[in-house]
Amino acid sequence: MLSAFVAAVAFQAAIVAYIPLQASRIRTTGEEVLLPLMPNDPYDLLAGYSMTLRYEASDLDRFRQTGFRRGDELFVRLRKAPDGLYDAVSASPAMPILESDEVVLKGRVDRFRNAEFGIETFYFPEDVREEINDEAVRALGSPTDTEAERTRARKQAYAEVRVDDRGRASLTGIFLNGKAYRY
Amino acid sequence: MNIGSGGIDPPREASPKFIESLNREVKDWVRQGFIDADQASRIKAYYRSGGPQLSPSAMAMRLIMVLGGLMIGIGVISFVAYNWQYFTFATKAILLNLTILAVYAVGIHLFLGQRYQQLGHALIFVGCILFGADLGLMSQGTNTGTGASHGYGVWAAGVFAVALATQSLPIAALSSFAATVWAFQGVQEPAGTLPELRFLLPALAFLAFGAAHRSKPLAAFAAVSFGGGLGWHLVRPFPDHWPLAVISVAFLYLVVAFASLRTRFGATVAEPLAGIGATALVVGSYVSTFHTVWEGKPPLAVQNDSPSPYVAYLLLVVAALAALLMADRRRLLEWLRTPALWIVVAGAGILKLATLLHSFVADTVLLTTLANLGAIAFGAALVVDSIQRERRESFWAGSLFLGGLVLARLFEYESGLHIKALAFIACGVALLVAGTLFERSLNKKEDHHVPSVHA
Repeated sequence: MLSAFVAAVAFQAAIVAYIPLQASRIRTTGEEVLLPLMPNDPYDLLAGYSMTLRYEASDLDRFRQTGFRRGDELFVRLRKAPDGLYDAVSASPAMPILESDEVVLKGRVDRFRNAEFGIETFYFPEDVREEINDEAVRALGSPTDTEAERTRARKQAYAEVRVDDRGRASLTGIFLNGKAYRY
Repeated sequence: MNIGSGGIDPPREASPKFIESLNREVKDWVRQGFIDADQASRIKAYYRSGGPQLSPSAMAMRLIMVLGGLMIGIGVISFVAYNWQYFTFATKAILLNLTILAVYAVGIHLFLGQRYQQLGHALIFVGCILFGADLGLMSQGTNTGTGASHGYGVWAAGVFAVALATQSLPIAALSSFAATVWAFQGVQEPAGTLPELRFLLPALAFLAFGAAHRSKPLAAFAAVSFGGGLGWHLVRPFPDHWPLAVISVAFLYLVVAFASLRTRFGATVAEPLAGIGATALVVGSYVSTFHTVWEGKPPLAVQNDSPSPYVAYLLLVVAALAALLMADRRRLLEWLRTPALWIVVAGAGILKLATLLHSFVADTVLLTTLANLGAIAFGAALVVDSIQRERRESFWAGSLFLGGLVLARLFEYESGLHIKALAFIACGVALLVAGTLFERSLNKKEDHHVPSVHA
């Protein structure tokens, strides 16, 4: 029984180690990508010590590619804009061929028909909760903002993400009103 | 061995759990006529509760150690919790993982030793919970969201590995809880090529584990998990037909329950499967009746080429044939003479009547009342069965079903808060009174059947 128990604990240790190793590999070898954030429902903005993020690249309605169903895997092609942020160009069910200034994000379609990349939750310590809440409200605006207001807000709120060559992403921090938050 | 003869060895020590189990079995043997009351009392007298009796001072010392250890533990946890936010991710990870390793090391050492096995078992259980917390910490530290990911599935797999290694049912139950959350996450956010695997994989794992350990709760969980996956697979293309999918799966359970009676696992899986199948059949039929009465959907008819009704009828026929072929005549006749069975049949008839009358009677209140009576009949059948066969499981299942049905109806219909309050009080009083009377009646019968003989 002892050897079986040791094997089981080793299995658990391997699982625990895999998560940070996977993230660490992406952060080490992946390309840095800055993704503009979109306004979110203010009541869902902060859930405890985490923040739900929504990206421009998550909005599938902007793409001509339709027919994605809930649960489908998809690849969103991103192209670097002159301001240094990355814009979503297209979404496809298979890995696309990329140009030199492009990266791809791998994700799934959620129940609201948005793309989910696994980088939608940002955790932070308790003592900065109020500060992040205030900065996020100022930077992100609201879903009813005009296009001009969103263009202005684009440089105020974005996420720093590392993306590897298979489209897997790891969230490393967020920027709100020029302040960096990395934990 | 002639139990009634002289020259019996002195009483043997046995655990309280064994003695409780033996008392139950001996009572059944007397009822079946294998042994008489005198032989039963001799068998019971042959075993006595073992374990060394602790002196008062030793008990006091043990209590002081436990309380002291608890206070120290709470103090350490409080200190860590207060300063937790100031620790870096690496510090948190090291602290938590070292704690888990220490808990596991002490736990397995005690578990494999001669004494404090229960404590060792509890520590390993705590370690499995901390493993789940560790996964959460790793996700937080790397900003890895949950969503359609497999966090709970991974937790379930890791805990199941420990359950297998230690052959522990409580740890397997913890794994089943995590697997259940993982499965329902899959329903909310279906991802991957076959999301039904979230139901089917745990079902297979826990069925094997439950059967090997003769654990009816785990076998029941595996059955529910399998049925959930199958039912969801049937329902996904035709969401409106979920009652029919439930009925189809219910008949499948009944068929498998009958078939399993002739296998070595029959004693473990047959009862949970039959119980879940019967309950699912009642729930599916009940809701299907309401769909007919209130929403005007044709009962159990073919809609949009759904195969569910045909599957349901086919499995009904197969279940009936299997029952006739596999049950021996004596047991079959015994079942046919059971009042509970005929109450269930009557309840099913009332439900069907409500459905059939829909075309002729416009009074939906009357039809709804009939449907509720049909469901009540099922709960009543369980209670009657429990009295006849002196089975606590049936009594509590039936009582809780009846109470739950009454309260569920109150919350669905527009009833004032005072009615709800009265209903809660009435159900609570009824449960207490009925439960007390039932237990007293059981205890009286136990004393009457097997008179105790003090050594």
